[in-house]
Amino acid sequence: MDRIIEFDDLLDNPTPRVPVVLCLDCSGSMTGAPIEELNRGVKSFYEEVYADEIARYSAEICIVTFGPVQVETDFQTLDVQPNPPILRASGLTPMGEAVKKSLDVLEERKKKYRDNGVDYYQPWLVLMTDGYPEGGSSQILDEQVARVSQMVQSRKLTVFPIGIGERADMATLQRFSPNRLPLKLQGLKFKEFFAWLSKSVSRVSQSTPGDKVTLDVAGLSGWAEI
Amino acid sequence: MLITRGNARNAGLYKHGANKDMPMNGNSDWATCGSICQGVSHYRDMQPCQDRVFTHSNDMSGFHCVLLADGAGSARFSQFGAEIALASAAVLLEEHFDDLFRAFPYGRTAEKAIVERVQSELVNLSETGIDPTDETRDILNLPSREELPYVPCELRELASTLLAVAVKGERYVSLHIGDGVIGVQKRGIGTSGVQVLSKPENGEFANETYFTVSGNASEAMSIHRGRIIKRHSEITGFILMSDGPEASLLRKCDMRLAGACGKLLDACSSLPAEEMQEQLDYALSEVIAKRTQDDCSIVLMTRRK
Repeated sequence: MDRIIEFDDLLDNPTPRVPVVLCLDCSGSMTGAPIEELNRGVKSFYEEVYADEIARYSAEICIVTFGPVQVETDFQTLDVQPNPPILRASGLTPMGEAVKKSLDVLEERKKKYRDNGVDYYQPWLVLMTDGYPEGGSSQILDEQVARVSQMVQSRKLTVFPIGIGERADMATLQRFSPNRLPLKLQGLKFKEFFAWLSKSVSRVSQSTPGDKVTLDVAGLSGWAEI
Repeated sequence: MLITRGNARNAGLYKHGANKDMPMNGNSDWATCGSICQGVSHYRDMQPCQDRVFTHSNDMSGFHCVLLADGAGSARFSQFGAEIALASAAVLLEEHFDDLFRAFPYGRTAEKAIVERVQSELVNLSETGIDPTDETRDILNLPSREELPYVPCELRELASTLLAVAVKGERYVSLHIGDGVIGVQKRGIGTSGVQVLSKPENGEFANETYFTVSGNASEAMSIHRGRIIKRHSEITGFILMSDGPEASLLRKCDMRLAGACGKLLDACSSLPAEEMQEQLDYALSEVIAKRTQDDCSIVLMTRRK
């Protein structure tokens, strides 16, 4: 029997995207084991997202490091850019400027999605630091705290502030997280954190209208001090 | 096989309701055909297909309607809510077609009244309870039918989208809450082909949309009215689809519908009912559903050739 339609009669749409910004403290104090473990964690994050057949085409990862503030890799799905950058530690900790850059590139990306008819999920911002803001403007820091809070409150952004080590400024991280306490990494368990993050991103990428994607709270115990 | 279809009949409650229990393709000027198909993700998660379709014709009055509802994935009884929404909207469309078409003297209050009546039916269902199949009770860990014949639920657990097109004589009205697409096939000077009549209404994010139970459902509802025959063109068909088929039948950057829509509508207008049903079932489960993880549903209404 002849069939009415075939695959050629269909259209292609881009996979809905999950924009993820990793805003990572790569200041001089991260030199040594911390930056090595961070690089291993980011690499395993890339590998796990790539291994997920939906997230590979859906998750778009952008890495912003500080200090100095720079975009290590702009938003890209892992089928296009499967290799993570090698992060190096140097400089101070201009956290406000780094968050500003993260949110600015995120806004640019969302505009591109809209201009090109690409659906997208609520963006994620992961902010990791091992110290106090240093070398940046306190006014910019305050402005970005307000900006993130406003986005989180209006459900336009999911934010994960993570403290690394005993010197992490949890009070400042708390300011970026109006709805939940910031979490502190157990030792240097970057790999465990990024494994949890990739699973969370995968769940978001598979959600459909009406789905409420809840946080895997049980999974936090694998990497966070609770 | 990962895809199954037609398990809508297991949802119960409305035996006269949507899908394959009901006769499609009547003997009137308008032919109709609808199909639903369980998505891969629902199969994997042991969730039933939550899409539903419904058709109704009254040859005496010249009223015909096709409706489609996509139950919210997070709402565990949304297939029941979808059935209620379709059945009650079909009745209301027939009762109030003229009010909706004229939009006078009621204006938007006619649309608001329809949403309120659908919501009222859903509230009744949530209070009196639903009657899931034994299989569904097992999956959802619900009490047996002997212990609890009807299972009460929250209103939000009955959430679905709602798409409807009604024709009466030479006039049409469409209603749309949430995502999914309504397409219209036209023939005439410079307007031939299938175009979007009502586009998906999502929020900013891909997993957001409006549902029948939303507080702002009546504000979110889009309505279109028009005449079947105009001076230089004629409407020959309507296609309604949920967001599953939308993924491969609607190009979002320019809101263009795929050539498949026209082929399905042309076939519906000319093929015998049984053959069309078999063809649409195949097209949905073996072609369109292969491009998405989500449940899929399509319902067609075309002028007979």
